[in-house]
Amino acid sequence: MIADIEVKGLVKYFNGFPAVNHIDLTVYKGELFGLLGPNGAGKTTLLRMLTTLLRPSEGQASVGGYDVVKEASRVRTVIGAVSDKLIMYNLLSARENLRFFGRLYGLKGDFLEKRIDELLELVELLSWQDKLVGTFSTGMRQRLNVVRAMIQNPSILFLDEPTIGLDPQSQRFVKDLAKELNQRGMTIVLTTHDMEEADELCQRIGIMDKGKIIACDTSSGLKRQKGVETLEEVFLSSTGRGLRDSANEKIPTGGRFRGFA
Amino acid sequence: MNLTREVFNTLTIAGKDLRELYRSKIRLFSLIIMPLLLMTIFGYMFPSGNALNHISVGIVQLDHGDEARAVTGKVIQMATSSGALDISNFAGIEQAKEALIEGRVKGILIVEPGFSENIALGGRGSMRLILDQSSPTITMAVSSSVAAILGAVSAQIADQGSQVQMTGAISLEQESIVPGAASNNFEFMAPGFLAMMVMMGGMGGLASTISRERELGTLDGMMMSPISRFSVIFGKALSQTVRGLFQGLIMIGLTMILFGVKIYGSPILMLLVLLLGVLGFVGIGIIATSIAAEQESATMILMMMQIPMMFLSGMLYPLEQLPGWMQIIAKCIPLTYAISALRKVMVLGAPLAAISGEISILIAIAVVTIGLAIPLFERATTK
Repeated sequence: MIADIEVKGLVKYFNGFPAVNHIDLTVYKGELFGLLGPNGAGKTTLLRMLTTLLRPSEGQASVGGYDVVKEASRVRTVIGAVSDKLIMYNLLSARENLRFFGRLYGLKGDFLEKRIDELLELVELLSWQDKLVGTFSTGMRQRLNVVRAMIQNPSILFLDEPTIGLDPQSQRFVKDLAKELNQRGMTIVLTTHDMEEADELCQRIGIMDKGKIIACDTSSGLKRQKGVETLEEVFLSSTGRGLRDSANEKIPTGGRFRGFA
Repeated sequence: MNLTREVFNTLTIAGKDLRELYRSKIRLFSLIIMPLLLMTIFGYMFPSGNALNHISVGIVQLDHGDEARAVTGKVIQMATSSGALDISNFAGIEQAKEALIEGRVKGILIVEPGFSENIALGGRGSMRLILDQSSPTITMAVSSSVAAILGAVSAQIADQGSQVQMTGAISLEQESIVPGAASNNFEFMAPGFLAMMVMMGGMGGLASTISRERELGTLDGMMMSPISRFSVIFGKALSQTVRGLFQGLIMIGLTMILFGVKIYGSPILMLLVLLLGVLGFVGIGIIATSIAAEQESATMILMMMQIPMMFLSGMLYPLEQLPGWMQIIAKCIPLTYAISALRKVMVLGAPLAAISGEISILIAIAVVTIGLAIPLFERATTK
């Protein structure tokens, strides 16, 4: 198996606090890898480092064979990312949004327009292409947000809680899309709090807690190791049943950007 | 309506807001520093005494007779001893006019040919005062000081029974450097308003658009694409510049149509000054955005910079009115140079050579601020 993402001893400090604490991880080409963890476990921080949005404090990481620090602009050519925030301009139409992001990846002319047609058709928004995104429902925006991340046909896709806040129909749509893209050979890293979603989609799952990966295996392997029936039970037995961010859990979010940890 | 409940809710909301303020170091700092800055600036800008002293005026002597030499000698002596004017000699009118357009002198006193002969014959010796009409306050101060000094000089020479018999009077004609142009307060302020609107609008707009995109998450979309940080910054800056110049055009149109402001210089030169000024401000805007964590803090930092700039850049009041140490601060502010260059072009019809000093400084400021801003922006967005 060929490694598409390799992480060695990766650390990110925020005000001296390690939000990601010496992580080693390998995600293989064509794999759909799930990253689970309680709030503040460091999942988003890890993803932001892998997508070149954050500079690691220590350690190394390569994505698509490129170093995330030394070859950041090359990493950016092979990745697409969907975060919980919608990377969309409300005062631009669906087509204008995709055209803008497509141009940032060097796409232009008929090629870009055809690519936009394909993507809008894929998420059933072709008839809405000239409407302002500000008039879209949350589900429509998230569908558009997912294909925005696919505009340059990336080989690796990062999905950070892509179904959060969506209705069941939109959730199903996003999940089926992730499955289909993975079947076509795309490497996908998915973070989620939805255990069923992880169980259904991911070939391997890593559980993060307090900045570390504390377990990593297939869903059935994790269940077997813990001697439990469900992924939720695996999760709770690995990370504990105590509430996070309570009096005994001091996990600062640290840096200038909210939602890192 | 339950009044107690309403009061309680009001206090709860106010308490929350104040707590947030207390915990934001930048906002708290701005809150304290702003009144200190304002009161210091205003206190020193409007001192109790007359601050308009030592205004530079050039003298051109086109008559070299005894009477002319005696008068100019006395004028220099009285101007220097009173501290009102600093007089320097020029060999010809053209040289003096060049100095006036470049801002080195604020007025030119010319002793006209035939001065001595006319005086000796009991007639009127002619002098001419050419004024820099770009600043009405300075114009007025120069005009009244020169008139007072000439009056005193005539009287003194007569009293002392000098070898030169001042039997005739001195007549003084006044004119503007641009023929036919009258000193107009709005003409003095229009270039300042224009520069301030375009540049500060650009700076504030840039900081606000970057902060907004950062909060919305759309900045991540750009930062994750394989384009340089330079493109992100300059793309944003360019759109703000276009906005600023558009606003500037509206302002110029309005001042010309409604308030009769005339532009004596080249519109292309004006555009060049505005463009260079905007670039410097873009750098400052990006630095402020990089330091601030969110939009509100960025806005407060910018306000903290904008207020001193507005009052110390010579936009509303001549720099000569400020005490020496404030003039030093004014010389560190990019807006000062943009306004000075724009005023010279708009009001005095100055050519490129006359504003080359300001242009060089504006370019240097743009290079330094943008050079600092790009790594700061990179660091702030990946910290």
